[in-house]
Amino acid sequence: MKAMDTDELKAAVLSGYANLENNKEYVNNLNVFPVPDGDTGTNMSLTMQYAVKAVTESNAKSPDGLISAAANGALMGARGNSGVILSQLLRGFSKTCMGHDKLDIELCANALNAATQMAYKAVMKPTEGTILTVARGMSEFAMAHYTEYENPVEFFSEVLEAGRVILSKTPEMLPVLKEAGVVDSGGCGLIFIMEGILASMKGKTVGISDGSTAMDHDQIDLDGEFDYTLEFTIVTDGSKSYQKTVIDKLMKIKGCADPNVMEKGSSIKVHILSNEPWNVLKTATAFGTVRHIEIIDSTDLDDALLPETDEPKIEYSREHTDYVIISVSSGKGLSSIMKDLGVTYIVEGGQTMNPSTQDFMEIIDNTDADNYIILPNNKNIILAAKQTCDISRKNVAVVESRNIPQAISAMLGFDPEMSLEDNVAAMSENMATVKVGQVTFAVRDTSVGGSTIKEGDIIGIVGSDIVACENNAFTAVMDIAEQLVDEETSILSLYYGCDVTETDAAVMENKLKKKYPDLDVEIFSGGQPLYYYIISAE
Amino acid sequence: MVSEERKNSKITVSTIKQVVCTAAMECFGVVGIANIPGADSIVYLLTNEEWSKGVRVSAGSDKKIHIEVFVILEYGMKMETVCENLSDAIKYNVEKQTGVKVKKVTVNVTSVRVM
Repeated sequence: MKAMDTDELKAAVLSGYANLENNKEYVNNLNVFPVPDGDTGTNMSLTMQYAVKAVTESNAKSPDGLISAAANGALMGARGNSGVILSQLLRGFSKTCMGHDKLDIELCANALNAATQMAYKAVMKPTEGTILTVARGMSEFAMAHYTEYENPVEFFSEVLEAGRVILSKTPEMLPVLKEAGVVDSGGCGLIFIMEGILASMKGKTVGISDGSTAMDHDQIDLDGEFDYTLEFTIVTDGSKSYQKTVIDKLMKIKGCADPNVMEKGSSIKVHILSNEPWNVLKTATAFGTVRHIEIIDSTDLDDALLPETDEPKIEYSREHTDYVIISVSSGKGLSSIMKDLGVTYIVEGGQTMNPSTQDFMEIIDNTDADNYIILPNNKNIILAAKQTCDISRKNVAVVESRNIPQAISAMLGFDPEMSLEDNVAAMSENMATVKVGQVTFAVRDTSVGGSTIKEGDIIGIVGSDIVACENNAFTAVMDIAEQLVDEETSILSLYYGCDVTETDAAVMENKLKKKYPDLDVEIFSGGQPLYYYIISAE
Repeated sequence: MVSEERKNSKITVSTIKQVVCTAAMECFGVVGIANIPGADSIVYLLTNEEWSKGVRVSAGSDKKIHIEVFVILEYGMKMETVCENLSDAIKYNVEKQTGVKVKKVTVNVTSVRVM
């Protein structure tokens, strides 16, 4: 019977992590809460990151030592519920492997079983339809069938298949998943890890791709063979679904490839590569009015994609200062408001792009100041900011702001004459007086607390609760304002995002002023992505 | 006894305690609820019926409540994270199910189960 050696195992763990990391956004989007900030994928990926770090640093000579290192790493880095469960699964797995120097099929099956048992033991009333169920599905299959397999790859892929089957059944077990129309996010994350491991066993180790660039690269290769990239929208009568017919017709045109057709109500969005764009448009007009036509010459596209590597470098001032304040922000307007308030450096980032500890360290290492204060402005960035404190030898403190308005009021409490501790205390205190609401859109259909939310609906969030679900942003803002304003409120600030026009923002301002004549209503262009409006009351 | 008056309904402390215990029971890593330590400082693992003895609910400021829970965790887990998860789960479930706002949740780890 063939067994894995340490190098193969190392590669497998790395590959499992890489596959999860590449798909973490997908896992995040499965979170049952319909806003674009689910974090199961991120949590699991961070936990795995620690495991991988432990594995790469370990100089264990046998598989059991290596797995034990991974389990320890995951334990130390466990984040969120799914992360803790993952670390426990690894711990169970490693306990069984202990003392064996060959990881064969039988041991693997036993270890999987022990992992599940270890995880189940750690909870009084296990909820079925979660990552636990998926782990159990796989281990039960492994225990029942391991004698039938000679080839570890075959065995592992069958185990994975069993996991996939269970994962697809999770909505049946957990009503909240069914209501939201998704499978369990933690279970899905586990499957991604296993997929990565299997790929590595087959000799196709998965590497970490930088966000969506992997997909983009595929597209560039394809583009090379075609002269034009076309994008347009067909407005149909909306009486039935045309998606299939459109694809069929497009595929029949000579010199066309890779049609990407998305239908939503009466509008169909099409992206296609072609040598004869005129023929494509002619076909498209048969379905309705063709709008928003954009034809890009592929050679232009290649050029457009190139400069991405030359990122604008931040210029560091070498001058010695008392304080350097680093704030995370996205959107030009918000960044300039921050700068006006005294923030020294802005790290670009936010909901969809979390800056790493490295990004903060770079600024700290390249500047010379007595004290550093970091404003993370997002709950997912707080950890990276805190790690910076631990790593850096300079005086770094984090004021745990969870959004931009909090950071703005925190900045108002900043006094360069005070000590670092006093400043952090004053800033945190100031921050607590602000109440913040955000207006964004739902990324998919779901229902929360009995009310149904459709993809694309405008939703208002205060804290982590959805307080408003409307079909336009105006009413959502009004709903939120109603929630935020109380007797103590004196200022109401509104930051509008990059998707909101100035006219709309002005209308919004008037509406608020009319409704709250006693308050100071201020409006700023924030230019932030994803969130149409950020409202703060203080 | 703290209770939040709604139009025609009152939510009692024991209801809140029940919700807290259920949340704890479903939380990964929590293997038991322990008594609030008395003068003897002996830790007892509570049975299902006595669970409410491991939870303290008190009135906080501005109509919000403060929940304190005493738990036993499984050995070999990052306690900090488990406690964080538990307090999130308690806050979420209590606020969602009873409508009472939670100001603060304190998780006390009384013991660790080693097996």
